[in-house]
Amino acid sequence: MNEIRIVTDSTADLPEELIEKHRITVVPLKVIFNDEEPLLDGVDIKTEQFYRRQVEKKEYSKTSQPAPAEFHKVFSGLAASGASVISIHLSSALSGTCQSARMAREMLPDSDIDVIDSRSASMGLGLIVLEAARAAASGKTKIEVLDMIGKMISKVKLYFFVDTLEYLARGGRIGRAQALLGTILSIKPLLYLNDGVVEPLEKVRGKSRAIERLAQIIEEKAGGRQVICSIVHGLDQEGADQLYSRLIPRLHCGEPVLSTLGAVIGTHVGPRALGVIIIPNYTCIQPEYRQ
Amino acid sequence: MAVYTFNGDDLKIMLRGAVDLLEQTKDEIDSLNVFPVPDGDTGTNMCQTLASSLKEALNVESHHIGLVAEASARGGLLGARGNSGVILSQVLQGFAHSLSSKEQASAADLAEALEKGAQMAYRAVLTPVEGTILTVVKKTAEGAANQRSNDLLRVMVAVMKSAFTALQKTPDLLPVLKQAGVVDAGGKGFVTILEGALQALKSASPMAKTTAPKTETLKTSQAQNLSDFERSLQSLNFIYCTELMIKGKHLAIDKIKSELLPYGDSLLVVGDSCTVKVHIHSNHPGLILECCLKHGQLSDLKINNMSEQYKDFISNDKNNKPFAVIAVGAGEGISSILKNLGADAVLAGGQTLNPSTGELLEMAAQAPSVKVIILPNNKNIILAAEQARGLSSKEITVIPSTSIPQGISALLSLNPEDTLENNVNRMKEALSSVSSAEVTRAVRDTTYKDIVIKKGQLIGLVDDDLITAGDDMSKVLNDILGKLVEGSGKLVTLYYGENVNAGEIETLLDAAREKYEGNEFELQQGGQPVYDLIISVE
Repeated sequence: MNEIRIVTDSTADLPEELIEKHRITVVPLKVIFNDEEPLLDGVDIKTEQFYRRQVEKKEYSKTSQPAPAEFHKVFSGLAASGASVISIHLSSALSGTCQSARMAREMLPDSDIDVIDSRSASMGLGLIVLEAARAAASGKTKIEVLDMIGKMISKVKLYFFVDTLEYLARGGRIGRAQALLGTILSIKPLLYLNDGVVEPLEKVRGKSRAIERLAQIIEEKAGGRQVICSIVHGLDQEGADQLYSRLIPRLHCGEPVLSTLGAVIGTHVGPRALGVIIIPNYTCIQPEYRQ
Repeated sequence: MAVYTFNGDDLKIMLRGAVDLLEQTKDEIDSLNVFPVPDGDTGTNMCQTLASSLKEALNVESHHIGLVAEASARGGLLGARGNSGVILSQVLQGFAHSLSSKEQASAADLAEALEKGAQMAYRAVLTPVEGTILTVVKKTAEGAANQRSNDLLRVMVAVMKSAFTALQKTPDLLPVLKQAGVVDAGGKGFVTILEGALQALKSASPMAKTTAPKTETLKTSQAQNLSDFERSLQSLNFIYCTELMIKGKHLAIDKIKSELLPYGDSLLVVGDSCTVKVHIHSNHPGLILECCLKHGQLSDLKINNMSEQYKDFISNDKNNKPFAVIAVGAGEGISSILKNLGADAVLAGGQTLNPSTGELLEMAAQAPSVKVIILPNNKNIILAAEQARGLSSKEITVIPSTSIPQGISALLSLNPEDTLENNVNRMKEALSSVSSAEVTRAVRDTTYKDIVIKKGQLIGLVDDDLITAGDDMSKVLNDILGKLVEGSGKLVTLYYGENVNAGEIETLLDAAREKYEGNEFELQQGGQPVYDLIISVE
């Protein structure tokens, strides 16, 4: 049986040690400030550098998907070593990254490559990638891993709040009309990913109230089930700590994956975003056998 | 001189006398608040309600008391402001129903009409409280029923006495009045009306002319409010706002309505079989006039070109919103916050000026949807909003918000993408998620629950209860926060009023941030009159 290798993109926001540990290949998207040369997300520009430019220098950035050629290079390298590739990516409703990966796969018709649209983003994508890599390493067949990924995609929940809707509106990731609402009174718009699309949920005033509401919603969505969990933030360690201590005791979960939102996600949500991702735990479930 | 019957002219004289006396005493009635807060406007509200009633009554040429009473009831209905104004309008309503078929009224008829008025008033209030204007009206009606004399003047004097006695007893029925050492303001207003009516009747010669009352100079804020209102594109589809009264016999409101409907929108046809008020936006005011002319004589014609009025308004797709939200609020800051949170229009008003039912109706008529949510944001405006709901041709939902913080909370839960029903449920739920407090200045010396209050001192109210007084803002604010902020994770927002130094409050807030660690404090410019601070804790 071929070795299974998992590929993703930089919007999975996976911590570097986990990427290394699970031998995950990450294809970076690009961040462009003004008319400067594109910077590779997580390679040319690290999280801290990015937010410094966004917050302190008040610079606005744009993002760009990887070119098909960049996927082609990664895919052909892995295929040449005899591996089966499962490439999982940022929601196609938010980015053309999946499209680039698919085009690269078309260029390699003889290789075993599956490209999957996660319908999610950041650690919503990241957790799926991580579990897939773990399952692959544990000797599960490709069909079993794909089946598991499919189930996780249908179950993953990502809720977050942003400091301002300005960045989501700039990037066209949310309707403009909604961006106009609640620009005063320190409103933290609470949002969620619904089948890959950012949708507003409610408006909450004040950061600690927003954190409490986020914890409430996640507790409700977990519904007492065993879950795997991740907390992500756009460099607001204090907020993330607060969310951790309020939320984790209320969940049945192992140690959550803590991560920061990278430059690409940060471009679209703006500074000080805070989010939670949960997926019901499928690692303990034996996937049904399909031939 | 003995008088055995009243006719329409007498009623006009009485109404005019009542309005005149109310006008003179309204400040005194305004100050009869349980708390010495400067927002008392019971007298002003009743005066404006009755002035509107009088105006309609004077428009009736007939001597027929039934017709004059009906007109006055209609005027009261449209001009009703504040709780006591709405209750008064219901008394007039009952009064008019009872007299409708009569050309003249005897003492017995008067007693019966008062009885009907009291019944209507009780029915209008969800949970009637004794010791208020309701009790005074009821006792007045009982007093009238107990009279044996046929001399109306004599009966009126006796009725006045029973009303006055009932008023004096209101503190016995309502402990808050006793504590504050006042009689009920609405009740006092009603007694003043009877007093004014009686005085006018006594001094009027049969030849007395009913000229326009001086209170007609009382400007309603309607015109100004409407120009503030960012009008929908809908209005611009039809340029001419046409308003008129039709007078005639056997006027069929439904028929007039259906005939006018094709000519435009924002159609309002209200009134009775003798007088109908028409309001419509159309492009052919001439045709509207011709159409109305078929039914009777026209008066009070008003045709405005709205495109001139609203040309600054940038048209957008607001036209056919699934529902629109109207909020009541005072102050530039408050108003822009309400709009920023999704209110389509903010009707200027609140503690110091309760908008009338008519103003709310007009606002609703102009709103860019057939479904309208009203946030009264004050307990004295809820009834007027409910009355507007009953009169409007639009589908109105009143969210019973009693304070600006409640209104803001309700607006925060607004989701324009969701259904009206879900929004209404969420907005109602949101009301209880916030506590409100206010800081203002006492209008008289008093003692309340062992708190000694001097005129001009700062006083602090928490959820409508007076809890502290003092000369020092820092003390008053501390007492309020001590009452409202427990534990952590609370968000405290202070909206500062028009004459308040923001820097001073910010300094006090810094101290509060230290004292109440783990809570957030925010200062916003409210710009509201009367209240130095409006505070919300959620």
